[in-house]
Amino acid sequence: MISGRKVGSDTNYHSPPLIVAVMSKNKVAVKAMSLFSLTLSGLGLLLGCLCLSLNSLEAFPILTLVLIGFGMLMLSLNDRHFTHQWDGKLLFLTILIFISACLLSLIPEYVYGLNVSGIIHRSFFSALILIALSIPALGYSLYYFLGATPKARDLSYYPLIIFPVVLMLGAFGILLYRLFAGGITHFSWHMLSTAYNQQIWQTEVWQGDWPQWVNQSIYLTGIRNYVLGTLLLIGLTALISLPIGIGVGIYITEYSTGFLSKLIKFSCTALKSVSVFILGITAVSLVNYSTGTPFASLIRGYFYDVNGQRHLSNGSFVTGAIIISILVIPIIARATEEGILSVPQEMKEGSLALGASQGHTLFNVLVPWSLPNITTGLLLGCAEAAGSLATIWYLSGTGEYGVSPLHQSTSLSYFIFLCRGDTSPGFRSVEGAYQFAAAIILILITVGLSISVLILKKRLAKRYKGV
Amino acid sequence: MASVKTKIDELPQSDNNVNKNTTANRLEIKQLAVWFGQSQVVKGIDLNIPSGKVTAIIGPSGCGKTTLLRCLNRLNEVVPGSKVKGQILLDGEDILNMDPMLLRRRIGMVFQKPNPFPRSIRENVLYGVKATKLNVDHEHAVQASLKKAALWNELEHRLCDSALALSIGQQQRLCIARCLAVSPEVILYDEPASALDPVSTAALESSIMAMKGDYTQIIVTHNMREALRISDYLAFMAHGKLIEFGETKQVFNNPLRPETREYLNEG
Repeated sequence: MISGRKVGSDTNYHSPPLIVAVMSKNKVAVKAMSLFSLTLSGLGLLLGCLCLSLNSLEAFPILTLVLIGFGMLMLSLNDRHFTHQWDGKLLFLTILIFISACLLSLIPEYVYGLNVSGIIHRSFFSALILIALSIPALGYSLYYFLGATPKARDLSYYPLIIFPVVLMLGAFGILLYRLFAGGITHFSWHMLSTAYNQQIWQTEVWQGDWPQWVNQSIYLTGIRNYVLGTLLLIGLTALISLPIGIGVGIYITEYSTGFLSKLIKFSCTALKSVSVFILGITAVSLVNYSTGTPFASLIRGYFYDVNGQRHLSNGSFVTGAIIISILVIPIIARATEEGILSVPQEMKEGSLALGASQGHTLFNVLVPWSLPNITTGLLLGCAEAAGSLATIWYLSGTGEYGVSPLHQSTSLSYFIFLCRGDTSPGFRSVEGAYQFAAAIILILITVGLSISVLILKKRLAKRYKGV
Repeated sequence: MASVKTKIDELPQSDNNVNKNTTANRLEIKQLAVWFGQSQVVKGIDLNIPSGKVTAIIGPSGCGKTTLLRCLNRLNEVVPGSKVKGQILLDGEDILNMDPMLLRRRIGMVFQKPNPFPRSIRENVLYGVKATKLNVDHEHAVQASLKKAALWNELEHRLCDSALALSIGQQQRLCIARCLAVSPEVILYDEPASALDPVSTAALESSIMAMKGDYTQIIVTHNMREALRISDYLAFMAHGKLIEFGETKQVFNNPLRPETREYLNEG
């Protein structure tokens, strides 16, 4: 403290050393106050989350709000006493808390109208208000609890940062719990190894002198074909899009300059913003155009029914893979481009200076260096193929006639859709039990892909980048 | 540091090495001018590089020495927006009209920062050989190149190790060995010792001295003492122009131009 100058009288800002030097007179009191405020804010936050998750919970939200408001008021008065200035934001928060407490008491228990065709319980509002106001209150209490130093200010932002993360993890947790709780009981080898097949036909049986028509049927339930279908889609998409994607990526970095390269790069980005349903409709047009041409069995797929008659289905795996590749090729091309651009210039020049041609440099130095990037792009593409529903929507069926590139496409995502959205009650009642199990398997496939790609990436980086 | 002397016959001869020591000037540069975009970096240089000797190019930063060096093996074409005018004759043939890959086999380059490929030592040395499909015995080529670069004794038993595991000095000598494996006629060095410590620098310099007579070497350097130690001819450049050129001792003791005198006194 400089002699001759009153404490805090001409300061225009909060200077922490002043606060610390002066507050140390009454450390215990401040700490007690902020601890009280801290616990109340934490309680308020918890209460808010509880109100959100449980229906019509009335657990004294107004009382909690008022108490938090008192805590903030005490803190701001204490701050004013020591620094002779109001902390604007803290004061604003306190006033806001009191106003919202009044508002909350004014809201009736059930709210009608408000242009919402439904009834909202008061706990919805109290939950929102509690969460929105107790997070800053928590931050401020933490700040004063830790002594109002600059480090304390950094630490006091933690509640604000951690809360969304916790919310997201909570959402994931609820989702996974629902999936596993619903699906784990149905897991069995029978389910995985049997293909869904339900066919009824009539055969002639001679009884005495007269033929009689007897019903015969197959009745099998299982998800084998959907798992195989997803894997086949992933495989075909990778097969089609990997060479084309790498080729496009190499072209836009090495061989084309100027306008054409910029045009292709723009198309790559623009393609990602195309709605996948448009791609689905493109698939349908492709199927329609191919009818009557020799390509029909390739694009539409065929099957043999119980009588040995050959029919055309409405979309094969090959078509589905081609349409999904339209989405995946830009991803791989972009990844290749980034990989090749990340090669150090001196390595490229070193290769050229030894007399290597541009092509030799490309395939011996540039592409091996960017292999980790390419595998990441491939992973993104495979995940896209595994989870795609809209692109193969109009092409898919129940897969009861088998899984091969020329059969009708099907996949786990389409199966889950059928379990929920199929209008005929037959399929749903029979296979509906397996929908959660199918979702679990889909998650497992994606996780397995990611892990294997991570391992592959590490190996490739070690081998070709020397990392 | 033992200097390594190897016979010429140990490395396979390239077809153009017949007139190795008969022509006095290996490289003749005539009115070379280089533009990067709008700015002219090298302004009308005439220079004759004598065969079999070490020529050092010195000068202040930004005077165009590296650009001049990179013109000699046409690496400036990799940089977009560059324009080169003039004539560079290698044994009478104009470089700028040759196939660049054939040229780069005859004129090799060692860079400022060692840039070994992330592969084994053996693969590094053989990279140029395989890229240009040179018809030599691979094992023989590896051994001869590493011996010339004074690395054979250290690395004889470690040929399959990754090249990135070597120290920086060894990496730079590996780059020289890699360059030698394709049997060039001219070797260009772009500040080869700037990233090295004094011990590695001394090893590098002894390799360069040992290769005198077999190869024409051109070194761009900031370090004047190094230039004095190893070079036979000295060229001084400033602001894109060649100020002076002559035998090292002569230029150092009796510089003809005042700019040269000023630069030499500063260093």
